[in-house]
Amino acid sequence: MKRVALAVVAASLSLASTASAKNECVETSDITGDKVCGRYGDRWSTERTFPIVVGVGLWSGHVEPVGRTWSGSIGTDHPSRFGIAGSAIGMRAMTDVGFDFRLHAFASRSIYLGVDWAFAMGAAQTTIAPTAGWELRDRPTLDWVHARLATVVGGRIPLGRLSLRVETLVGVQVVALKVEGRKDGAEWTQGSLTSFALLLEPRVAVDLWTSPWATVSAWGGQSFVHPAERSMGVSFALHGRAFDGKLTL
Amino acid sequence: MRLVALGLLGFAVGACGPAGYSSGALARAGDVDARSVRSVGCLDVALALRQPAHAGDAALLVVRVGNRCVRPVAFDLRQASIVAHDAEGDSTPLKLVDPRDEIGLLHVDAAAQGVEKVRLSRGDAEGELRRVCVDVSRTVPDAQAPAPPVCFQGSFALGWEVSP
Repeated sequence: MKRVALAVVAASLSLASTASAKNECVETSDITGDKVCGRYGDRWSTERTFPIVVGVGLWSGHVEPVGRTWSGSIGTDHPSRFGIAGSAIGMRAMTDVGFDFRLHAFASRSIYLGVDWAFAMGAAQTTIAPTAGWELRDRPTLDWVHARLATVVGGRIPLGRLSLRVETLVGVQVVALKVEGRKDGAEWTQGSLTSFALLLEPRVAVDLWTSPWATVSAWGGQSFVHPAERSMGVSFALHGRAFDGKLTL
Repeated sequence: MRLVALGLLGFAVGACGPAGYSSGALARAGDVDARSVRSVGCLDVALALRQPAHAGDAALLVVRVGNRCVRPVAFDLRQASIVAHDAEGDSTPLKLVDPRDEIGLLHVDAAAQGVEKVRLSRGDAEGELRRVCVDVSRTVPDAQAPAPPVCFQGSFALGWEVSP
């Protein structure tokens, strides 16, 4: 039985390595017609490069608990769940800071589509009103987590070394506040307050071309669902096509 | 203040992006002779001849191209005129060998540069080649002024040098 198991593991590893080798193309020649992985014009022609943009940046979000739907969860094995109003969270707003990642591709000369993922953290210091019989307090750590996943559709206006972009993010965002709760003076138990919400955020961005294939951008956005909520950031991006195909109008 | 610092950091990182082609860079490329560089419209084109990679071929053509402009520029290597002269003074046109039909009208990306190696065939012609001239004037449809051809002197045994 042990031998069979070992044979299965060995066969799996062999198949995995074969599959990996098959996926990895090894170029055997740099002569047109003899190349097995590439083609004439790869890397330098617009027809054989992809108009994609990959970006990474730092961002800051401004979230207001009031007006959101929150759910509480206290305990780990059999957590107690309850709803809680945003107004029960004492702070008026929370500003968090984190990283965001972007991949978009041009569907036409000016219009692009893509995905955006962002993650931010903060240290909330707030009081929380007792809810559903629970006495609640926040934890004195990086207890605030804010994550977003969205599709992006936008348009770009080339203005020389600067570009102006207007875009909209449509997706979901989750905000979680780590808390501790107890009932009837018992021991404090770890838990969280979580809010899921639709993300619908128009944004404006300005790109500065630092090389034909690299930009530094500053952007700002405002939530369409919660107009008081804003976000802003700076990012660095690499572009598959020089100046995204066009430097000026 | 925090965002200003982040912006400066971003700019510093951004400045490290890949640099674009600048005029004269082809002349410094190690695999071509600076004397072979021709400016055709927005493009710089540099050439070199190497020993053939396949039996029966006439030679291997190395083509470097760089775009000085900030817009894509059309480039069609098929329009290059390549003529070989043998020891007897007879001339034969050389053809690009393109078994997969890859070579055609493409646009060199703004500020981009690239290098390609293309086989040259002389068909059924015989006799040892002594001189090969390549005229790239028509490879750039937008170019206004013609560029003088690049001529190579040499042989299979001795290799090829750009002739003045």
